[in-house]
Amino acid sequence: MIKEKYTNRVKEISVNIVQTDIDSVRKKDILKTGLRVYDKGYIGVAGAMGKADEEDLERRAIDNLSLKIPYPCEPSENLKMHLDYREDIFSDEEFVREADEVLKVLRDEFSDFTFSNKMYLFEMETGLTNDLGLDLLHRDRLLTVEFVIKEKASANVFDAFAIYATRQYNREELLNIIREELTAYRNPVKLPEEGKLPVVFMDFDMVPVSKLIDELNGYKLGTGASLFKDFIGEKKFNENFTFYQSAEKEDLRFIEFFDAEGVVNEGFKYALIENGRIMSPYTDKKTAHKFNLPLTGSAVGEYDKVPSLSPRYFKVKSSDKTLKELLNGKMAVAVVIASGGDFTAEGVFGTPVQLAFLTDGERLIGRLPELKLSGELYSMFGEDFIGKSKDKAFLGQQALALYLNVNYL
Amino acid sequence: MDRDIKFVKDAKPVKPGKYTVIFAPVATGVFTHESFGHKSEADFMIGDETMMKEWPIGKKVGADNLCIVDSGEILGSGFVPFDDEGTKAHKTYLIKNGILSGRLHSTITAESLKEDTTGNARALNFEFEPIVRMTNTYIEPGDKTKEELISEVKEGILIEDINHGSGMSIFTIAPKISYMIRDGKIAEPVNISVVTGNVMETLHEIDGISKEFELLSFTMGGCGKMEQFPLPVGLGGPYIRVNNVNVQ
Repeated sequence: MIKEKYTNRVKEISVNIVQTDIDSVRKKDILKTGLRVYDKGYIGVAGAMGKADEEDLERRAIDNLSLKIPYPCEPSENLKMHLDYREDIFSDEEFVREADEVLKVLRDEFSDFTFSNKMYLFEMETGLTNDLGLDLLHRDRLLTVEFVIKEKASANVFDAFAIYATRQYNREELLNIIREELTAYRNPVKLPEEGKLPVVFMDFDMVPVSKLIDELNGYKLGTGASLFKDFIGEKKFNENFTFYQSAEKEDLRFIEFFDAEGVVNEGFKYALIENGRIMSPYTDKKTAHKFNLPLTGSAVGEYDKVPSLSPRYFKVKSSDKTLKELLNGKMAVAVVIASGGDFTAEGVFGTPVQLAFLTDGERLIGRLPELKLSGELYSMFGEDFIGKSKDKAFLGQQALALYLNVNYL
Repeated sequence: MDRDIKFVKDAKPVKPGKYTVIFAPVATGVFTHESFGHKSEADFMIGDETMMKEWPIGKKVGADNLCIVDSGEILGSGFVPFDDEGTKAHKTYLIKNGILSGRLHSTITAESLKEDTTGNARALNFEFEPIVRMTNTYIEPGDKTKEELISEVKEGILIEDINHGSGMSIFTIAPKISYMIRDGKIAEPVNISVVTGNVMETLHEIDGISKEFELLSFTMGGCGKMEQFPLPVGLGGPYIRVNNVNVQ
């Protein structure tokens, strides 16, 4: 029998903001411990919050082996990695004072808008160890801002967002993102024309790549339900399009460099589509074992759950060009909020766009009316794929650019 | 399952455009929850003069036969007999006969707007503070049958099942199973990426509501509001017929 221990401790302070003012402050310090035992192809799991009695956890995990939950794979072994990405940002008191200062600036500069929701200072420590020499530890600290923005004269529930996440906080960097967005917001503009136009999305926006994530699911592909089931190894997309699973430092936001089964990919990434060629679906150990697929380290699991297949973080490989260079003199539609869109089963894409700006690749020029976008999966990442910018030219984020059909809603 | 297999085999892409659309109860429920339910959560209104002017109780906001309710008293995934501040569940009419009749409150928002509490303060779990959330949200049944709603449509779409939906000023629903309606009859299956419309305009575009009614509970997923996701809620309603819906 092999014993494995998972621990996760989260310390967080957040300020709740209402009408551009601090409404309340919340503090968390939560420890979760999970004990897994593996025996004769089965797994037993038990978990506890707070200070855990490990002997009791182990007894309960062993009892749970009787549930006969299959785990026909070997636990990870012989790997020790301790990564500490924490940087000094603020003490809790300094953080609350800083939030207050930021809100003061926003009240002065943007009296025609209100800001609400939260700012967080978040610290995590996650460990995974077992009897086979696995010893992984991830420590991280992030300051994140998630402002919901409303134009005071608007009857909408909200009109815009501002998102900022960093290990090295810079007030002016945060304010400049908001300044660029809201200055453009105040300037209504029209599309250069309706029809096929360059459209850019922020790096973390999964709307355009959601179908790829669905179809690259290892279980879906293994059972023959994926659009890509007959295309592994085949070139189906643009030569410059590479799509990979990433656990690189710059991409980690509240997740660890290892997955829930202790898998660490070489270079912290795994290419699923490389230079247009479909290489592999994403898998956890069970899925890789069942369908004889490569293991990509895509297991997710709560502290008291059996790890299972789930998407982690995916990204499109950056080009060596700036957004301005990628757009090559053309104006583009920069999408900030495109909520509710989807792909059909065969890959036809459609989404409304609640908030978009016109951009020249260097700055946002003005706010566009509500739009609708449409495209088709193989075209979007084939002949209509433009590239991903190397610079953070879209509100502090790298930008994914592709041609889509753009019309007024 | 047979329906789904046949649909996957036979469905063809829809011709984009504006259609009269009939929503099945699950689509009605998601539309109601996303498009109007969230607008009824009073924490969005605190200190906001524009919202108070735009959303006075008594304002005509929908078709005459439209009644939208939130109630934590009904068994299912939105059953909240007492909310997370200890307030007893209420049946709250958000819209009654097309008139804005109420909104959803925590104690803080009720006090702030000088309205009554409604039992809608809910927290995802011990890690979060209670905020204003829905419970079971639905449109009340009408007086037509599903067949009557369909029979009165020359060319339109029936959405029988959906993948997801969302709503701000515009609502969106991503259908899973849809059919064309031609000359009052269900015709060929069609694949649709998304249907959209302006929420406030669409509430006036509802011109038929069925007697058939279904309130649904779900074991997976739930409602998301900012950091608190997924919160179990119930939703549903009758079949509703809506004109001028944008279909992609």
